[in-house]
Amino acid sequence: MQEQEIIEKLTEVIKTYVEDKSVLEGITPETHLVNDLNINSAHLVDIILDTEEAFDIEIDDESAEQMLTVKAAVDIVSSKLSS
Amino acid sequence: MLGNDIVDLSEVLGSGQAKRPGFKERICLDAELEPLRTQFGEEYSTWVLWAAKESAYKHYIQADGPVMFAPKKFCFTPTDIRSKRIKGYTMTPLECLTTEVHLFDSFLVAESYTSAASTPSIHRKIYSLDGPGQKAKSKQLKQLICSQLTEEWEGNDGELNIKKDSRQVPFLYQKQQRLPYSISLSHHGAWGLLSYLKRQTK
Repeated sequence: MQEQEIIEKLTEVIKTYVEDKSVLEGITPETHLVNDLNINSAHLVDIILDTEEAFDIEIDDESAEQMLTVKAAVDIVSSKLSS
Repeated sequence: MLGNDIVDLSEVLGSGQAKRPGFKERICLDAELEPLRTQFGEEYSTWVLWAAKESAYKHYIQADGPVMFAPKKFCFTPTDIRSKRIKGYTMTPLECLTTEVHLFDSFLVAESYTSAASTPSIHRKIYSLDGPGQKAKSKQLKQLICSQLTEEWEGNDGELNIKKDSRQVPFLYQKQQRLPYSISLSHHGAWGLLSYLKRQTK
């Protein structure tokens, strides 16, 4: 799967938990899920679970620890898909 | 230093979020749930643990711990379980903290602070928020806090301000001067929380 495809699919996952959808327009790899998108931190768990379902992968706790930015999420998904 | 968290129970109980397969396993170990489950039920206990761990994480960030999302690395062990307050300790990757979770009808409030011989005198203020969204509520919370503290401390309007540093740690300022308080802010659903204490060291 190409990186752009991963980003688009991840954005769909993240979108569910973003109140103000307009912030998604300015999304960049450095965008922080909690600080920039104002996602409630408890929803990070939902995002991890949804990402596992969307990409049919398993995200271990060690990887999940870093899943705080768009880039980190993309890197984790890419790595799991290629392993 | 101290960290806090507030959980609006109307937002979480019944939403099914904590009952989602895999959810609680991402947050806590079964051994952490065990002492609470009988008295409070599994869903409620999961949120008690979440609040405890979030408050400990905020303390950890203030203590310069690396940013991460790892609730299971913040292990809460209750030592005194009462109907309206659970007290215990939380092991973080940096240190052992004392954590108290206060159980109100509409929300849970958790505060974690450095374990010491004497319990610090933590000031707590809870606010009802009605802003249209997280960002608006965050702004409203800061305004309510500054307004109330200005009145209580008999200060001048507009002098108090809350700013966060690059690690999102909040500080209280009077004019441009940082005040010697450790503060922690949280909001969730319809509720906002300020906890603060006079800072001894940092």
